[in-house]
Amino acid sequence: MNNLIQSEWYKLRKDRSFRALILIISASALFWSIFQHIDRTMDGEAPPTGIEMWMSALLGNYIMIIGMCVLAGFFISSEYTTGVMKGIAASGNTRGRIIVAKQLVYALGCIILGLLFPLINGIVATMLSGVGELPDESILLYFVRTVGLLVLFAAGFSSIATLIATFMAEGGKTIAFTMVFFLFIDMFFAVAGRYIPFIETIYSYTVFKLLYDIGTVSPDGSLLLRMILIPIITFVCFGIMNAWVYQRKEIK
Amino acid sequence: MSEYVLKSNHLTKVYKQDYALHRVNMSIRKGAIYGFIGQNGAGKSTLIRIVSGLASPSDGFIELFGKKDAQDLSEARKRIGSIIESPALYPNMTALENLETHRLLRGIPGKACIEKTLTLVGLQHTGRKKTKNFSLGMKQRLGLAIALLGDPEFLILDEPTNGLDPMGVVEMRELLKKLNRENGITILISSHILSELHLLATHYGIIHKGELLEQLSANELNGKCQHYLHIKVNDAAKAAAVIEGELAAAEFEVMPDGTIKLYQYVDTPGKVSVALTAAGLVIEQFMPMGEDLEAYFTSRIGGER
Repeated sequence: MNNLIQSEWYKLRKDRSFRALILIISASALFWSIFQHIDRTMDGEAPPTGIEMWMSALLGNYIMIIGMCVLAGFFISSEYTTGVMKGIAASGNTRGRIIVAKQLVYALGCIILGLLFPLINGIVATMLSGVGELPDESILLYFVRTVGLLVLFAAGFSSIATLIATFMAEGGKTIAFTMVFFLFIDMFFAVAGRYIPFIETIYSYTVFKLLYDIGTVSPDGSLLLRMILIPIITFVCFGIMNAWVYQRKEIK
Repeated sequence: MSEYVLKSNHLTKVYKQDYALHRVNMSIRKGAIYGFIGQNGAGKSTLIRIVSGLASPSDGFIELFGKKDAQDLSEARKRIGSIIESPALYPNMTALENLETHRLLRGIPGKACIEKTLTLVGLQHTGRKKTKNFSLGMKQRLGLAIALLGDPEFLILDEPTNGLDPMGVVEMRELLKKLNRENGITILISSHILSELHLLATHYGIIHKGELLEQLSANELNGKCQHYLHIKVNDAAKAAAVIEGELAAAEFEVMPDGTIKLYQYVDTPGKVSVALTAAGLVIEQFMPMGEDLEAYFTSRIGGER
């Protein structure tokens, strides 16, 4: 298993799309935080503090989702189109281990992409205007909790993207489908929930809904528990489904 | 320890209603170079894919190194190197990086094997060139290097000479012979270039429409390849009458170009030439010949091309 993870990690580090995403996200975060500072200062307002920028970057985190979709296409699905998946599947490692290793390293890639934008925003704003403060909570506790939750949610989302990428087995299709899926799933739940209340209840227990809550200051016990458990359950359940699908997949 | 590297037992693969493989019983002895011959769609790649673990059989089973349970088969596949259909490479990586990925994947300790394998296939000087910029021949060599990483005991090569220039084909053949001779690697090789396969294989398997028609050794093949007298005269019809009448021979063919293949009197050609000359025929070509692998294969599959 260790050798599979090492191999996947090596490939992730060499993946041009991953490197390009890191560069683009870092540059946009840098630009955005500096722009916010200048804009607010010119308007005569107090420039945003580190914690403010961190909180605003957490909301929704579409950058993480878009990055994750692109990475799913290049890192997972393209291996089917280039044929290298044949070599991996014929390497004598069990299919279960192969897909688990891939999902773990892909999740790690998504975590890095997910953390990059808020982290750079927070760091730059802190350097320019200080960390700032929160009314009801210590900044350190808030920061550690939100980083932890972001990690869990990136992992949860990545497990869903892995399943789609394994099904699609083609980079372009995966990128297009995952983007449409993740960006419109909220709309689907909102519309369907209006007519079927049960769907709205389900939605409130999904990673899609809870992603918007990870920046909540001093969340109550129930919300915090849901925010911890649901991404973990999503990661495990989709991981099992990934293994099931991949084990039965005829690799072309 | 099993003397067979690979055995298939009633191996069957059905796609919808069609049999890609039908009750195939194949066996490859340790140390053999097994030439796997068949037309496109005959079932070669399907069998190779099942052996490599990329597809599962609809019925029957395979034994690799004497192992047939799912878990044991996975372990046994670690002893196999393969190129399936085409060399599968990461296009944005160099040759070295591609090999490093596979080294890590197979858990091979130390990086020394990478340089050694690259040198073996003649790709040691490719430097930082990405494999997407490689020629087809270079990609084939790199595919072989990946297959050879970790010193496999069994090599499965699907059309390994595709895209190689004539010198490359010779080098590939010599390399495979060397690996077989010096390292004792068993090789399963499928190729459309039967003349090339004839120079390499020690055993053959002929597959047609999903059925394994025959397995035979190179010696058996040589024995079976029919020898005949190739005759060209000024009047083929008259010559046929002489062969049938005076020589009382029934095993002959008049080819569309007017030449005659006479499968009798191969050891006594003098009798034939005397009879033809006595009948007033002018002999333009007269020589003993033997069928090659291609002709034998064509005759085995019923003359279909």
